[in-house]
Amino acid sequence: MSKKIELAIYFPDLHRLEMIDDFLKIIDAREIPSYLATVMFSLNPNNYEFTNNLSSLSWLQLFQNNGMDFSRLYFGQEFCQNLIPPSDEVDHAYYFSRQMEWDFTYVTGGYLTDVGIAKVVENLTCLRELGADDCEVVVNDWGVLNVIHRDFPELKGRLVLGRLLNKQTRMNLFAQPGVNFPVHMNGIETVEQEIRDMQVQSYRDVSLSNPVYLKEVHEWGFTNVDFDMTPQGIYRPEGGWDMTMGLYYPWSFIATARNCPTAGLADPVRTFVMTDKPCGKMCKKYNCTPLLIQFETPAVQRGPTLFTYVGDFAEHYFLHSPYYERLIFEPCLPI
Amino acid sequence: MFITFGLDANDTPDRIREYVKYGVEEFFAGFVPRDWLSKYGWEVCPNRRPLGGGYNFTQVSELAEMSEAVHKAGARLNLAINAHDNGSERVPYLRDMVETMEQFNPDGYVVADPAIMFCLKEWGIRRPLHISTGTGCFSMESIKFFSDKFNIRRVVIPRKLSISEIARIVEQTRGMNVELEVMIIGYRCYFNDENCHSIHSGARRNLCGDMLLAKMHASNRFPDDWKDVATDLHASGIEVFKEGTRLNEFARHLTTNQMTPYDYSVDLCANGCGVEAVLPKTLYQNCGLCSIKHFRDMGIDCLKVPLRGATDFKMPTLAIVHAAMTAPDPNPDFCRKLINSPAFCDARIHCYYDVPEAHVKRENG
Amino acid sequence: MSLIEGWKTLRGLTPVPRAELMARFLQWIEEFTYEDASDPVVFSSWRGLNPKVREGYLREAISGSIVGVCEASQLELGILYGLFQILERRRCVITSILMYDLPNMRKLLDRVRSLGDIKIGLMGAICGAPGKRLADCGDFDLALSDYFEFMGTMRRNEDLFFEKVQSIFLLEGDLCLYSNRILAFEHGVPRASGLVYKSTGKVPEEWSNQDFIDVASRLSQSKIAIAGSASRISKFTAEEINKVFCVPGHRRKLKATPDIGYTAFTFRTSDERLSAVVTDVLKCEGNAIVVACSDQVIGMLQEEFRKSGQPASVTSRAADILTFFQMGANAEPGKRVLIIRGMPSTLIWSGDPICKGAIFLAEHFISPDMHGKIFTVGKQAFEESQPPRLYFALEDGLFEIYSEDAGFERLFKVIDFTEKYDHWKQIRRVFAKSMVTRLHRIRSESLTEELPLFTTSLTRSVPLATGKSVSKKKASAKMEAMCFCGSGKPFKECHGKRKSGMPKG
Repeated sequence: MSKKIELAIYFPDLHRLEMIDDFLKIIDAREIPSYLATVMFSLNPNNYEFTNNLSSLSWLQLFQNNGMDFSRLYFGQEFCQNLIPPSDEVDHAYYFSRQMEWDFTYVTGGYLTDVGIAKVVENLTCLRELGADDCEVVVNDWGVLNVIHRDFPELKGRLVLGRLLNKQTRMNLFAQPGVNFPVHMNGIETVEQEIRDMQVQSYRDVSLSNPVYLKEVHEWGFTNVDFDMTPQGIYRPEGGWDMTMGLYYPWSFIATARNCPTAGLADPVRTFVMTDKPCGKMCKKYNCTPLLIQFETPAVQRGPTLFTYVGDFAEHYFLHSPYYERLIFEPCLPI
Repeated sequence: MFITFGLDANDTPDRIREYVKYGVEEFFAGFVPRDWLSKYGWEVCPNRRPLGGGYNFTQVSELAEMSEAVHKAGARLNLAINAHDNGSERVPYLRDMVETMEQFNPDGYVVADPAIMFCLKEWGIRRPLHISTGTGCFSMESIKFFSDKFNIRRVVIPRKLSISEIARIVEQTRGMNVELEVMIIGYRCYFNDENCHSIHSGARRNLCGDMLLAKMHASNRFPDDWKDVATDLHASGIEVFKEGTRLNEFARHLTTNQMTPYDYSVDLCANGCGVEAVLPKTLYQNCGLCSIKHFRDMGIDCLKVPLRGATDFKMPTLAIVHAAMTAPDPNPDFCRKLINSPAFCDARIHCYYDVPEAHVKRENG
Repeated sequence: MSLIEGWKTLRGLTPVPRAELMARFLQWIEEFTYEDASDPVVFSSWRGLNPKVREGYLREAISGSIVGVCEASQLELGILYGLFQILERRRCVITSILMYDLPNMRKLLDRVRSLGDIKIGLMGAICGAPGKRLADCGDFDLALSDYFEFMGTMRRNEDLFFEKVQSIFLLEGDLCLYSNRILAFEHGVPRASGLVYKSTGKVPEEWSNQDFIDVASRLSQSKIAIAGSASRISKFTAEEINKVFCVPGHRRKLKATPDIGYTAFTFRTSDERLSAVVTDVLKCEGNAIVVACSDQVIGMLQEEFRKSGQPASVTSRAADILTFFQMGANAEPGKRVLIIRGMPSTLIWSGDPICKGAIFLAEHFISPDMHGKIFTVGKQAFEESQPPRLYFALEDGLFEIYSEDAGFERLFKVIDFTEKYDHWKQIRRVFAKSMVTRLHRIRSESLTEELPLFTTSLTRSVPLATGKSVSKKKASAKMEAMCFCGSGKPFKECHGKRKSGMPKG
């Protein structure tokens, strides 16, 4: 790997940020006797978060071996507006990044109601007051973008198009390495493999590649775009959309929601619909994951979001000539 | 308040006339012609019905017949091109579809991807746009973002909002000359439709189906020092299987105050009253009839019944939505009578929106 | 007198001589079919025919014949025939093997319904009524049906069939009575259909042991009034149908339609054939339809077009033709090529040709009549820029089977020898046609009732590192270091100090 990549590390809250050294510590699970590992990790899909942390760190060593180290902190909450860190955590995180001599990116979330937007505004105001003139903001909601354009115009030129607005197809649940994914051929006369190939080609492409849209995205002040690693890869045209490209690793999300099965542990209704009662934030203590054993690539649900570990696909992104500029490492599931 | 209803290749002019009698003032449909199918198959779809034939129109003659029938019945017709993401290679095909549809004077386009909204503008299409749930307008600010840039007639409010959150959006957008539409019945999607990026295919059960059938595993999260525990075990043997060891503490942490996900299958147990829950569950999947009163009172313009591809279910579903929409007082008791399945209604997994008063009496016995 | 009144009058007539009824009916349908002369769909094909020709078609049909109508709309003729049957107090079923364009079909039926007193039934997927059967049509006056479903009823419930059905109009009647003359059943459900290439009139013993019906024989012996239409019928097929179906004095004999002129080319290998098809498609003026039937040829065609840079779409539905050639201006500007798998339906398009183009048949189909129908679709869809062409190769299954008997290899040796001459292409064309003729003769000798040909069947371990942090800079060390602000205090006690009241974790 000869190209220098910017390494960012992503935390959704201050508590875990403060445990950064623990998260980055490598341990060799092979040294643990299997019967002890069974007690620890068991066949519980919730525990993939922890076991995959161990395996992902080994890939990160590639970067270390090439003289790269973290130089940016991503901080914030993408997936649940109940978990948006308050402004005093945001300023703490900002100071942390200053102390580490890292750059700072504030991550805002998607599917925000006015309540969530108000929290984001509070945090943006806090950053402005701190004089964080160089901080980036990841935008995952059109409402937030509207507010930024109106009330925080200085952020134009420092905006990152987040992975919730960048609607790549996540093939993960359909892509078992070495197995052809299913294609519905009823009424289709083209050779099946050709359809499959064309679909993969389509899945690699994104809306951003439309010039008329890209022009607007630039005008809106976006200079970066973040992606999830996907099995099909990402087609980046020559010129690279004139934006810096980031990739999240090792957790890509497949689907997310406002309803939450973890919140549903305390209030079953919340598993499927939104209620007006405050959320008990059961995700602080519990995980609730569906057992989707038919998929080789394990999926883990954390809060409302279904993630998948990209270990099987990451190799391509790491070992071949990287065509992205930033790797955003997720030492934990970002919820 | 009126109904907007999905059409598919199995709908005929006769059926359209019948639908209009049940309060449908507007229809929407998808068009996926052969050259698209030959290249991309069904799964890569220009709208949100990628499950195969029958869900979309594939012929110009069908579009012509449907447009004529809809307009003759005094209703409106919109073309759905609301795929979330549209790479540039596919966009010329979309342009062909739009230009073909333009011959039939559609009343608007249902869109989700801002890239397509800008493309339509560039192609000189000035017809009103309906912002689909796929765009994800959960707030007034997001609605404003689009209404400032495009000719937006209507916004389809995402499903995963509470009734009071929807009421706030209605209130905050009053001066914006934008109609608001809500989904009311049919499959609700386990996740946010706008944030589900899994592939949907008619060749297998999809993620949504898997989620509904999967057993949920709840467990306590690891303690913060789990890596230390693991490191300690590096050189350990059977001696750690004792009281007082770190392993024992770790195991205790994982098993203290465990929680079990609610077992929804009990809600489908035989009830003996009315229709057994599994029948309306199959027919309606998720039902929001009890919320219609709230939506009507707050000023929602339109109820969406998106049953493209579910031909046999269309009339019975439309009939009950119409009945609730036009009833003077469609309270929960009234709506329950329409469904006639206490077991279905009592199981809150089936509710489209949370309507607490629909369950209070039952909770209080 | 309004149309409806005219119709009611006709219906109310006490039995009159047929000739008189016919005359009055013909007069009435002139108004009926011209009710909306600008309608591009309803009876537009009928109106486009020469009045004498169309009257001739209708008379011939009413007299009980299967009429060759070339590109004209068979459904329109069938409906007019059905209306006459209603006047003669007979219920009529129009049956088809090939797909209709459903919106056009519905428009035609709406026009019939507008007469007020005609009950219409639909049965079978072809008519947009999957799962519906004859019994579901109630007391219909006119019904449209799917041929296999309809004939399945004849097998399953003969009493109902012969009670309800008083007249039948067969669309592409030769496909019904010849190409799908034999239906094989399993547990009452049609499973396959087949033809007897050349009938000797014998009925083999095996047929009684199997669950077959010979549709042509059964219908020929019934009292049902039967007529039909066909786009193209060859002399051979007409003679074969006449042998089995046309009981003297009871059923009118079929007449062949004029030959549709086409050019044939033969090649030693499939690759050469496909290469020639693609080259000729690229050279032809306008758009193109290429028809083939086997998976292998279709797959290779797609590959060849892809290599040539010419986009081509594939379908098995003739209904896609109109949509396909109307679109593509942005995505695939330039020549549009549609590959059709199987025999496309001649019942889809009844309007004016869509654009300029040509049809290419990339394989020899089982019966030459199918070629005629395929070429008819070309004439319906295109203002033809050149005559239709047939391409086949000695490697094609159909020719491989018979090559030894037919001596095709010997013919090719002659062609190779003469290749250096300028008119080798002309020689190839002659030999191609003679090969087709030779094939036809061999099949006639071998494929009799003893060997019916069934043609349609009615599927980590991840390397781990050891014991250290992946980051060079330990955060804890940095937290202990002096604060970035230059205050001189450790970060933990300066900007890194948690504010009071801030929850931990």
